[in-house]
Amino acid sequence: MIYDCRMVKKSQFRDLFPGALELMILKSLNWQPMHGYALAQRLKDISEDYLQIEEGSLYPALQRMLKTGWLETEMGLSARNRPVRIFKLTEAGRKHLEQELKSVEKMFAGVTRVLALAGE
Amino acid sequence: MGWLQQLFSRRDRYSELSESIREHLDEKVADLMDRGMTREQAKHAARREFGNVTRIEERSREVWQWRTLESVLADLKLSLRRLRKSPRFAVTILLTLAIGIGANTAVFSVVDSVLLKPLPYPDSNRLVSLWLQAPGAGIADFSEGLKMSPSMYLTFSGQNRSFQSMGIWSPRTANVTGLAQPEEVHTIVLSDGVLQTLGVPRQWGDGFHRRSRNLEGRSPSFSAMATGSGASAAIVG
Repeated sequence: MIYDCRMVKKSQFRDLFPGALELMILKSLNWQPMHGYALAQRLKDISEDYLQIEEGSLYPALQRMLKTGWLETEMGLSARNRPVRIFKLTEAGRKHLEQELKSVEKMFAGVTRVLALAGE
Repeated sequence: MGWLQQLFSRRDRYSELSESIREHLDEKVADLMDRGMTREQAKHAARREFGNVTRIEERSREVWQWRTLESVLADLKLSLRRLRKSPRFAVTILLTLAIGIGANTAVFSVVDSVLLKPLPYPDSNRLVSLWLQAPGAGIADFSEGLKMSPSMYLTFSGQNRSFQSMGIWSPRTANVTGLAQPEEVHTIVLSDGVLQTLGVPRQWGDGFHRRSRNLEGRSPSFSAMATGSGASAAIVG
């Protein structure tokens, strides 16, 4: 994840935990196979102002996931009817997503619980 | 053979990656133009929001590479190309390396034969040489130790408790006549104990006798000689 420090104060946003970007990509592509730009738009739209995701930083992550075998590409058409490369989940990707979601939910629940109760 | 396939399909991966990024930027430019930007403005804005395209492409390619190995190979290629461009520098470097390596090898072979290689005797790690030191004895020059006298040796070997055997020797020269040409050869006069200590068997002669323990004796059974002109084996007996 890359932040643009000229525009965003560091204290306002913090680094994602390792694997968070991959997880969000997997979840989005599981909902619907997309090309790079659509994926970037989707992440930007649904994260609103909570996260700052630089569009370019998706690509190294996408390549890592292609290499690991969680994703594959195929040719398709964009909303403007242009030929584009569409990223979609493989079976291994789907399995990994399920596992990761479970463990992340558990982690968030734990952190939330500790933060809520630690001060009492 | 997955890695081999990966190596060959990498070019496709790279061009696919560049294509994806280009498609991304094209779509974004079209979107921004729909919102009322001119083409130039839209291109500029799209690139700004995307980030450094070259850098991002590089980082994405690195995913498919063996980074350390490939950067070493690239460095190697670059230095070879540079060397080819300036042959005089290359020759200097090669000579420096050659001389350096040669000198190192020479020094090591000397060190190896003098210090590291064991002497060619059985149990050579148990051989010791003895020197006499007499600090405070008032003798002016004993920087190389005291000279050994026969009586000292006889005393030491008589009182010896620490060593299996003990002996002394002294280098000499001798003349060999009556064969072909008269020849001066290097000889060693040695005492009882030297051959036993070194574990060298006698070739002939009947060895030492108690009563012939005389260092100045010259009988064949006392002296060993090795000719300086290439006799294949030392005569020991």
